[in-house]
Amino acid sequence: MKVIVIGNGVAGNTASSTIRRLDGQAEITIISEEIYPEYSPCALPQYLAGELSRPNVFLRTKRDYSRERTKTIFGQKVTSISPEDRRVSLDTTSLTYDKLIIATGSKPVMLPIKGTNLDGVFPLKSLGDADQIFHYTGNTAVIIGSGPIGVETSVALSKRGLQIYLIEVLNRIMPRVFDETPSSLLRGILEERGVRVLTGEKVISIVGNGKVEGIVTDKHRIKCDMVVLGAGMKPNIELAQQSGVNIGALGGIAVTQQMMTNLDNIYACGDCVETEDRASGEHTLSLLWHNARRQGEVAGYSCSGVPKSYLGSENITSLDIFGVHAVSFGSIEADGNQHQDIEVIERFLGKNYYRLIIAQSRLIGAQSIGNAQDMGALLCALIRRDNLSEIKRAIDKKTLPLNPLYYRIARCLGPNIRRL
Amino acid sequence: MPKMLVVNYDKCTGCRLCELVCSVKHEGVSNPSRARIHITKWEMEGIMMPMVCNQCEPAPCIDACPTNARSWDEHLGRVVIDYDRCIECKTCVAVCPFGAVSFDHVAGRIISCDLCDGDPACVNFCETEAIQYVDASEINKRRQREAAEKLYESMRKFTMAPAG
Amino acid sequence: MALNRKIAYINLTKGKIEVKSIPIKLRKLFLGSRGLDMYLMYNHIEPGTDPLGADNVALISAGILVGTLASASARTHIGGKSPLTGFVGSTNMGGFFAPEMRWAGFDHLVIKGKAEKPVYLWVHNGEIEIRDALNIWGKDVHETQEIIREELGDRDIKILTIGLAGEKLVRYANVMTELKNAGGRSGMGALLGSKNLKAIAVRGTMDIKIEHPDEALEYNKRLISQVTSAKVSQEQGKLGTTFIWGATNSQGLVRVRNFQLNQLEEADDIEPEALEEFSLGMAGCFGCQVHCRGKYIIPSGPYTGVYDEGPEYTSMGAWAAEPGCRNPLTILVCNHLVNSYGLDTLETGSMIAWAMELYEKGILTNKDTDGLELRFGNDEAVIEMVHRIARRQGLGDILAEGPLRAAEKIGKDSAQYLIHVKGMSNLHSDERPTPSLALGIATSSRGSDHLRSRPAIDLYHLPEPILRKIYSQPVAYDGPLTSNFTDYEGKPWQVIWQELCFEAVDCLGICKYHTLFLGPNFPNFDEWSKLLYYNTGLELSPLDIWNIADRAYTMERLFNIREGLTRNDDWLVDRYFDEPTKLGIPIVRGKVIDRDKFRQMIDEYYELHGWDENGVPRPETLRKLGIDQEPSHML
Repeated sequence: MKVIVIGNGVAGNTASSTIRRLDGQAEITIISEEIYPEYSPCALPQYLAGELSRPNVFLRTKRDYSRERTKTIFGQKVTSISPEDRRVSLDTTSLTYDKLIIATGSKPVMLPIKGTNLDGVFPLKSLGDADQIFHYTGNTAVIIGSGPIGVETSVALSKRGLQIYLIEVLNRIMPRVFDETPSSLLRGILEERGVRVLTGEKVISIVGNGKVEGIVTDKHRIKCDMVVLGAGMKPNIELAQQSGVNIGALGGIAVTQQMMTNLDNIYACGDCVETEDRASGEHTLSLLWHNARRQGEVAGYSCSGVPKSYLGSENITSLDIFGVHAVSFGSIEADGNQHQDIEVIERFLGKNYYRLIIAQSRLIGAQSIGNAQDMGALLCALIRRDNLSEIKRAIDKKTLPLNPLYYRIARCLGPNIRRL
Repeated sequence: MPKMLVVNYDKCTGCRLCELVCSVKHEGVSNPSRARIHITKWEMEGIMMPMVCNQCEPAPCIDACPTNARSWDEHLGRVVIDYDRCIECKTCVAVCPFGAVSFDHVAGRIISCDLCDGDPACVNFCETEAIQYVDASEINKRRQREAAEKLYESMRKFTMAPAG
Repeated sequence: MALNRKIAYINLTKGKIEVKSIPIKLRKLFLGSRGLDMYLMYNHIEPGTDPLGADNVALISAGILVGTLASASARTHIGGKSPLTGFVGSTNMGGFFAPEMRWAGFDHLVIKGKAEKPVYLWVHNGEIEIRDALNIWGKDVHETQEIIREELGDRDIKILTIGLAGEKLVRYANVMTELKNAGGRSGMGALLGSKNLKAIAVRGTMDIKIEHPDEALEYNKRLISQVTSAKVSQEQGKLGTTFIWGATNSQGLVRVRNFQLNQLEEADDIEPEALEEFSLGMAGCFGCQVHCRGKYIIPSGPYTGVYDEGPEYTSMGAWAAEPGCRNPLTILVCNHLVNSYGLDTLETGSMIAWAMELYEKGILTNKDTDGLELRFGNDEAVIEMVHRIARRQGLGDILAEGPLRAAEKIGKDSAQYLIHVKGMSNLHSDERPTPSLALGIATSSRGSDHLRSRPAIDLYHLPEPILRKIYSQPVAYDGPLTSNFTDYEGKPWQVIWQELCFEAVDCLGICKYHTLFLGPNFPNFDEWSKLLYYNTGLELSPLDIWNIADRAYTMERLFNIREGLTRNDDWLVDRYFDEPTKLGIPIVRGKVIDRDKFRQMIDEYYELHGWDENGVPRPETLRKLGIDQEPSHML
């Protein structure tokens, strides 16, 4: 069996390793535009902060591929796929496949503003981007967009001594991940460490003469030496789309639970696909590491003829902001899609904060700041769609044997459990 | 056959000696906040639940680790941490259903049960046998599951259910 | 390391906090906890201080081995001048507070002055904060802890608190942690209440370095098997301390109906084995494998479904034998009530039983009791009186003052029915057949007390050679020793030995159930010397530890003498000498304490201690112990 994997991220690599584990004979080729062996994009902020050396960013070496007998074609771009003759064309050559796995990942959303082409403006997606930022000199950086990547980048560069401006067009930071209260708590942590946070502010242009000199927003002009674009990521689907692969409503490749596309022998996994959210059952673009890995594994199984089902994505965000652990699971209250009655339980526990979002007795989201050791139990309840009222009853009645998870959940709820 | 820790909640008296010996054995200090095992207590209800790494397979913490720092050690049947790879992002802390992964604030690193390389101190010191180290046989695995009301059929096991 | 924990002086009047190191010199003189508290007490409390005034000092401490690999090293000590007796106030409790306090960086808290309004202390990782307690004032022991945990946001916070009884200055109010860990006797709860100090919350994540971890682990393992292999520990681990009550009742060594009888007959329903029916299993204190804390849920009645821990030996006496009740439910309910009010179960039960005898004798009438029929055997009346004492209502207000003050208020012949020493009620046991135990309670530094010096193994009829082996270490003793517990010979030395054994473990922070209290094969001075070395690096021989205990106990004596204690205070009430026991096995039946022999025992006891015939430590004794210059104000 000849397998081609397009993409050298976690989805592609997990798919490839899974196939190898199941099939010693398969001919596997991984094609990647980037020249590096697999690395962890999640580790890039630590690298930027100078807390992690560059070699430690890599998850595999070239030798790991050869040990797994996986062929690599790095630094080349796939120009087209022809499903009819099961062929993949590159710049200079073409290859045939029995099975194709598209794991092309995601790419930064480019802002429709002037000046993004200036020297000193970087996205932060790839190791190459990180290398450039790492070696760029300057004293002041503007981060546009306050998603987790924007915030992590702010923290990283701030740790390196740069003055940071974090700019968010909406009225709070990480608006898709945290509701207002936790968001403002996190903003406080950033500000305490000297990060200037500007919300409700729209960047109009980046200015400079060849090189970044500042930005202009609808409220301010800020002088800076560097701009990092953190306005988010979107699935990288052009190649698939051109080949006739169906795209879902959210702009990701549409796949079955077995990670199959609409085309025979073509599978897709990772950031480029859209899946169902396990907790809400709704379609989602997850763009998260752990989901990509599991999708890659399922795709690998499917290619090898072992039917496994991907049961959906889990929306988990976990980030460390100057030593403070911030976690968000599932939906947030402010999510515009909420169509049910929502109950929010909020708890300030000393330095820790918990927020539970409940709909029809079921947990649909949880956010925490500080100690996150009880969050895993909440995640469990969220994904299993446990009925919290039943948990409460079990605790009240002291149903034996006691379920430790219930107690951890109840610990998070505290006296609020009475409200259930 | 690898062995596993089995917790019998009914037998736990909540004395926390397991936490103490764990921190002494690993760190040479008495400090339960640096132990790999914790007794979650509801004092006013008399409930004491030792929570320790279940060595899940597949494990949420391994799944969620963005740097592959956590991996499965076939030989001892445990999850191990490669500190050279770990970037202390604490995702593993957040996703563990048992709250069994923690951040050691003194040493500045993630910790979870390493089964004391096959000779768990907590087991050696637990007179009531609330925590035992037994063959990871199917029977024992089932026993453990029952002990915690099928707790261990935690969500990850179903992430990849057989199709159909 | 285990020796670097600090001492904090907290002045509630001024809202000031000062943290100091504890000099190693004082460690070697007094080790820690009760020993050092006694030094502090003698140095910081002026003679004649009003125990409920702002000048009294509350001392909270953890033993030097607490939190280490010394088995059952969980003890918290609380000291101060006793509102009940006016002498040494001192109490010691298990649970988890003391280790948490050490992880938070502190061994000793010295609390002075009086807060203007209710406050609680928040002690965490080297810091102490005085916080407003208005919202918890009036709350019971259990609610208080839940509210503070919620407020501070950490389920693992350990809290020491007083209940309503402490707030109302009931002179025998307890300091409590968790459900039933009780710092009882001597009214330390009233002392905290008088300072407007509702609670102390602690939480710590600081290392206690174990000096020789491998040896300490191995030695701990050895001691665990040494302790848990004893049958008495196994029984404790199954039934709790109630099993001792069962055993002593069967011999006729308990007190029934305020000393009128010495055995509770037809007690089948409340035998420890019968109480097992209500048990939810056992719990343990920190690091202890004996797990003698019972867990139960009240099965019926108005308190159905309430969870609590216990009951202990003392509650068996207080809520069954003394009031002449035989209903297990009464024991469980009263045990719960005293726990949540923060009342001393022993003293409360004694006061009620005393009032019942007064009612029986007509000294108290329905007028005094507001119509409550305070007959022996009236379970409802017992429960009602617990409420009234804690809330200081009616007769309860008088009984809340403790034996001597209550007798003064009630007048008539009421005082002659009191069973007390130094104004503190006796354990609900009967010491008439056991001169050794009688001497123990008569001379105890904190008033009548079984946890100061009780040579309980005297009841085991151990062969003389075994007794000699035990009692000749770590200091030589070649005086008489006898296996017969009804004898008077040799007992003073046993009392002193046990006194210093208990003092030593109270300094170390180890539970008394891990000592010779319960059996001949339990850990002893030798073991403690090793434990100290492995865990803290401190090199002290068994004899050094003995001397420290002697020094600390003598400090207690000095304190009491300074407060006006005389030889007459080391004495029992007349009923011990005049009313023979009526029930029990033949050897205990018909027994009284012989006045002359008892006087001789006391002479001998003083002499062995190096005290003069008035019970005052001789100057050379003080010199030998290095405390002839007290108060020395080293801390």
